[in-house]
Amino acid sequence: MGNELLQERLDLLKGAVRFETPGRIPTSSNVWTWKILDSDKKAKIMEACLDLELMEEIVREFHERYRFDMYEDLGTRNMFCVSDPLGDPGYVVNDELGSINAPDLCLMEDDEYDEIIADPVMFGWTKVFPRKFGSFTYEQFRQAVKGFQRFGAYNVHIAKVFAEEYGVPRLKGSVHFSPVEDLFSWGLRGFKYFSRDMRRSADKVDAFIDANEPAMVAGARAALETKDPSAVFDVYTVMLAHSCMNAKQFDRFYYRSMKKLIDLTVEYNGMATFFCEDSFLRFKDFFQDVPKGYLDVTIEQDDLFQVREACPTIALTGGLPSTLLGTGTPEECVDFAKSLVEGLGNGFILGQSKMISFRKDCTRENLLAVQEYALNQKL
Amino acid sequence: MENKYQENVDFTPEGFKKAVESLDFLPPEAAQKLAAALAVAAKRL
Repeated sequence: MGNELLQERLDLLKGAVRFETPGRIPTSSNVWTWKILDSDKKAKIMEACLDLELMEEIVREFHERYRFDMYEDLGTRNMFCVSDPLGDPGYVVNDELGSINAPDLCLMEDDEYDEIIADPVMFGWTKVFPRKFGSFTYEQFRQAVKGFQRFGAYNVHIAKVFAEEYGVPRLKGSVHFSPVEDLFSWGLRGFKYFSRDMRRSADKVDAFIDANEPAMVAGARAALETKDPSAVFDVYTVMLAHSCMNAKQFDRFYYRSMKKLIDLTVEYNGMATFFCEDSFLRFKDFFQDVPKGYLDVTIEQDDLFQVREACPTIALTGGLPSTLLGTGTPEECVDFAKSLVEGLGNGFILGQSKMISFRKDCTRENLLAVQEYALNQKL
Repeated sequence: MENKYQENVDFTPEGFKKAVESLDFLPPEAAQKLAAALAVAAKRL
């Protein structure tokens, strides 16, 4: 049963990327920590992230209730079981409000680009660890490594459970970030200092990308050569650092890496998906030559109809705004979903327009109504 | 039994070697690999 359904979902989702007419509406879950808050287990965010057996029960419950075709997250995002033993979970979690936020960090000084390029392991040990966590004992480090192993095993286990028991494919076979995301999203320089570096130390940013991009390309090539048959997309990336760039900076520091991922995907006849936080539309001109059938972009901020018009060869995932899912009625949510499905036609996977994380991002009633519509509507 | 790993880590190259050695529940090669991976991933934790 799992295998048949797995193949059906793979065909449905890959067909959407190829702009084929689907038999039913393909759906994707962009639901993150909200699933913990929605669960009948009534667990707290930290509790669920630290207890991976509890997390498995929560993600199973979530799937059994909503039955999405694929999932951005199966409790696999927050590595608290690694960071917590070191004394800092790395996120600001407020269990009373049901909120989770990432602080903007700067873990690398202005003049340390050469040092991290020369030896990233030793830079991580001698600079990043103490700046991020302060002091910790060797026992704490041992516990963090054990947490790292546990987290890795959970990732493998939960993907297998979803494929074999529920017939749900893995969303991605491999993940490759632009090197710039290490500087921006992952806090080596953070928003403020990375923005400044692009203007004042552009050559250093270039050198950092030059040093790290070959590994990104090699990883993507290896994934495309082997292709995980249980994954919808061979290549996955998250775009966030582009949010602080103008078109010229995007061309110089970011698009170069994205183009390599796209070209490799086409060369190997694979499929890629870009999870785009902030605006994609601002950089639409860079994506005019993408051949149809290879690339899907999850759109978080832009109007999907505008993106479709601007980039007609790219499949789109997303749709339901958290404002509507959180405060609208079930009828309003279903009407909005219908307008997207009917208006966008082929090349569309119905999802949500933001990472559904906070308590007020969604209600169970609304998400159930949209899923009931999507699962039962014949096309 | 006293835990011999209660000392604060030394964030130097020598301290890294000691941290790798402290992972005595792993084969040496795996210990080196995991400790290095964690050091590189520290920014993302």
